[in-house]
Amino acid sequence: MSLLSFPKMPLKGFKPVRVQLVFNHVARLASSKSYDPKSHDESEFRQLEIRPVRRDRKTSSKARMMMPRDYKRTNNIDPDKADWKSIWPGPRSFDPNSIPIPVRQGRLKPYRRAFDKYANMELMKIPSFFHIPPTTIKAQCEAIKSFCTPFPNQLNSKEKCEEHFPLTVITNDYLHSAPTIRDPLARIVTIKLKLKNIPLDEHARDKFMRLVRDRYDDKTDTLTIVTDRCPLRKQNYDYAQYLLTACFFESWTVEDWESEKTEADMEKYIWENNISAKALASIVKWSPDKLGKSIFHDTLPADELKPEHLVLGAAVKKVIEGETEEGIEEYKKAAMEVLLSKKAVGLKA
Amino acid sequence: MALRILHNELFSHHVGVMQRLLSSERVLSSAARTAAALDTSNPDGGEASNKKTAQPKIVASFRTQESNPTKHKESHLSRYYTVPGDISKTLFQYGGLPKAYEKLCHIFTETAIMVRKPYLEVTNCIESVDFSKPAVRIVLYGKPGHGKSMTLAHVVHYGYSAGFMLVHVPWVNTFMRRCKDASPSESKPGMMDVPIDAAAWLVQFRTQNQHLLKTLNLKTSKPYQYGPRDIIEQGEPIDALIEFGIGRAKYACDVVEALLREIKGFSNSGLVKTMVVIDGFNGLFAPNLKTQRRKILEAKCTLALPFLEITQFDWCNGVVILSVDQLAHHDMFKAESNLPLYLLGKEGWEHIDPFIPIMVDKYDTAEMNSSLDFYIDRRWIQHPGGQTEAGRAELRSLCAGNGFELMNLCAPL
Repeated sequence: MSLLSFPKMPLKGFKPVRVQLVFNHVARLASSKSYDPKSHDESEFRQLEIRPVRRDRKTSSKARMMMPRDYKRTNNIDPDKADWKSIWPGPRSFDPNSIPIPVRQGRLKPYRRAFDKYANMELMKIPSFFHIPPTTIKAQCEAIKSFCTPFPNQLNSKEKCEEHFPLTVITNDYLHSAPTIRDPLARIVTIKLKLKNIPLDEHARDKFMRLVRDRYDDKTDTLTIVTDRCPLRKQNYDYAQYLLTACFFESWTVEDWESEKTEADMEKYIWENNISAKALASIVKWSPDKLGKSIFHDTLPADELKPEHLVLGAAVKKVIEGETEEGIEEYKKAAMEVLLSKKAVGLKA
Repeated sequence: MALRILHNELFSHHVGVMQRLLSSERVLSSAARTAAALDTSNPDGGEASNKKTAQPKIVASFRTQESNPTKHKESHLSRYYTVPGDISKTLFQYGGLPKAYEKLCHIFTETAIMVRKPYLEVTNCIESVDFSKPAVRIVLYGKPGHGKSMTLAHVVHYGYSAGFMLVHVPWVNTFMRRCKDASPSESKPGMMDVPIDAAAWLVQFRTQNQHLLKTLNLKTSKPYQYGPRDIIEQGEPIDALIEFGIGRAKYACDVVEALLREIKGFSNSGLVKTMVVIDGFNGLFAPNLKTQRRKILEAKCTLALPFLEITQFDWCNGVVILSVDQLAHHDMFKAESNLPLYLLGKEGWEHIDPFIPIMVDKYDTAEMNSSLDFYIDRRWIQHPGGQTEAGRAELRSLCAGNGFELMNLCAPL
């Protein structure tokens, strides 16, 4: 910019910024002089502008922009009616003489004409999509239709698709107007699966969760495995299949050391395994000679558990999983039921 | 305000004046409430009506003459009763009432406690406890200032009247967060003793249970040896153990442990019924110990152990009433909830589960009114504006049912 505009400067060494300031000042004075109180509507409340805002500046600068000259008849072709398939059959770098529409690239500057498509280096650098406008895509789809089978009409809903095809495989294909058609990202394979579709019991599910860790999303019940370690897509797909299979069968095996799982390792609160249930058992089975001895018994066997004990267990679980005042109230009722011999007289509110 | 300052400074002189002002039976509340004050349908008319020679007393509507807490029932709800002076001295001489209220009691020349719903819930529970079963744990919870400590004070009086042996810790954090002195324990390596606080607790225990210790003639079940010459033989009266603990503060923590185990034994064999009352119980689970001089000691406190032991369920003939408090949390400015599980933590919850949680809620309208009446009656609210209906409404809405807030709001009036 500066190279071209230099000779146009009237005075060498004169700072254009200064000129601009002077001009602004003059303009402001002129606008204040031209103010006519009668021209304003009486009902409108006039604003006092301490620093007057020039509102017409933007439009005027835009008016000074100049579009490229367009003197070729070929550029008047309607792009919707043009036969793009034959004009631009495949990806190639930009050619101004083949494209029958006016194209420009480059920043618009005041008093300067915009760069048009001829001899425009910037247009030649970027890839274009002239080879796949909607009309071409449509024509190509029509052409390959004879090689396709129709989509099975029984799979008319998303649920049915999920039911019959629980496993989703996601891969990406990349198209380039480049010397090579390969893209390393195309090797990545993602498989998605809803866990409800594979048979897991409580133990297997727990173990499966530990194996897949954050690959499982419990909100959507979806397992997502992404494989990208092999160079080819086929290999990555096979690897993903292998991982899924291995996790599934591993989760069903029970190792010896799994019996050593303690309460701290538990995924969720199970009242029967906890100290709360043991404490209740000790209270139920208590006798005065137990003073000073180990106080915790084993949990009560299932046939000795009374309904109120189970209610207490449920209340404890609810409190431990998230303490609320209602939860504590529920726990209170359950505890009174278990601990007090005769029911405490309810108080009137 | 000036009068209040005078009270504080020239207390001895003015107490006499106040007593003359306040001792009259004819304590009437504000003029608007005069009609209600002539409460002939007072359910406990009790003593007054029995003595036919005495003139019928005029009792204000916010008061009840029933000073025996075992007889308090629903009809006494939201009325104040006065703890008899000697009992009040026995029970609360070494703490038990909130500090600010204790001062007020001194100024009012009476220890007045309101009968409230949580108290009745607690006593209902105690009355339906099967004492041949392990000790039932009752836990009071609620926001600070809603009256947990006052309810516990009421319960202590109940226990005293019902003949329970009292194991009462007025505020756990006096020894967990503000202990007078701490020294490494000899009997439990790695832990800290708080000798002075332990001895102070023994003094309190002796005072509160004087009558039982005299009459029951309890004996130690086994010999105790603390130092080469400090031996308590088997079969010595339990007073000897307590006296030893008070005299030799060095061993006071061990003595407290021994004493509480003995008490468990007595209760188990049916000699006494025991009531354990611990205020700010969640403080016992603090990870460290803090001294009065704000020094933090990364060790557990030996005095916490016996109190944890006695709140277990391995003994009978006893009842345990605890309170969990946000202010007793080891880092009270960070405590976010006042619900029991949050305050007790996993360890604390498992220690006392299953227990009966009882919520101490804010004052309802009746309680608020009777509280205001009480303050007006005691001339704690002297400002004429505070005695009008508008003033009362303002106070009610300002304190939002919080008794402690109300007390603070009324202080400058």
